[in-house]
Amino acid sequence: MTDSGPTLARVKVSKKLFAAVGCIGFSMLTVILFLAVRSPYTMFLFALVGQPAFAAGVGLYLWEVYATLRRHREI
Amino acid sequence: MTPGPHVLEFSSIARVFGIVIASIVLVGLIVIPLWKKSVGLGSVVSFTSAKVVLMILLFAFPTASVGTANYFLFEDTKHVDSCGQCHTMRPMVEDMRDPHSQTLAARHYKFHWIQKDNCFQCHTDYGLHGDVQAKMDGLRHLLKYVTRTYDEPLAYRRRPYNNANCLRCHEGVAAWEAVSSHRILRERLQRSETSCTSCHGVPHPPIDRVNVHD
Repeated sequence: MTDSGPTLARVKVSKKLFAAVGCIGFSMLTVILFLAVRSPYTMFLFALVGQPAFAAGVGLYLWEVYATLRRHREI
Repeated sequence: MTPGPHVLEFSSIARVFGIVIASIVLVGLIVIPLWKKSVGLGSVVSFTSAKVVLMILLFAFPTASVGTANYFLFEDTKHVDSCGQCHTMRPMVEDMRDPHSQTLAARHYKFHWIQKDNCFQCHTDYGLHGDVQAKMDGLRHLLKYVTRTYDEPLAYRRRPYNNANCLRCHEGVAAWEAVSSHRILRERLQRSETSCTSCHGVPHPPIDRVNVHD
């Protein structure tokens, strides 16, 4: 693919994006555990740990998107 | 009617869908950075494509996966087997399935008065399926169970039992209306001032007969 614009190699992974990846990755792990093994413990892990992690991850990702858009507007 | 073993329930499909989507996200989040480094993916994939991939992996798929898991959480916890997973509820479930038991729950079960999800049908107003307060209570119970911060035997705090759970099925039925005491006490029954169990027996075995420590 030929693209004269910036490439993935040049995408700087910010701390926020890195944290979002961690939070969402962890929440996906709790989802898989809960759906694969039905028990009060996996339910607890998903409902009370995984979901807040997911919310935090999506929040961080959206924050990063907003910050990027703002930066582009300033430029 | 209880679906047969050949009928694939929607919650089972949701379960598989959730696992697949979550696995794709997880694999993607691990593999793509490694691939980018080792194969030099970054030099051939455009910035726009990278943004789309990020949006899928960090927003669209995780939202779908968590939504599916939530659907499964609320659907699956209606099943009797799901209630019986906590050892504190096991004596109630065992009594209900005991063909010799004469408790209200057991009679509803063995005579098929309730076809499916027996626990849920009589306890719709609390646990994870009721209003916001009920959902908060359900999560608190889960937290207490997992952290073992509760005392046995458990005490039923939401007294009196909400008769609306009984009346939902029984009120208006000819056999129910034919009983004079039902007609006389109708308003008291509707306000849960008189308990259905006063005349119809205990719903579950008394707490002192339940060996919860097994």
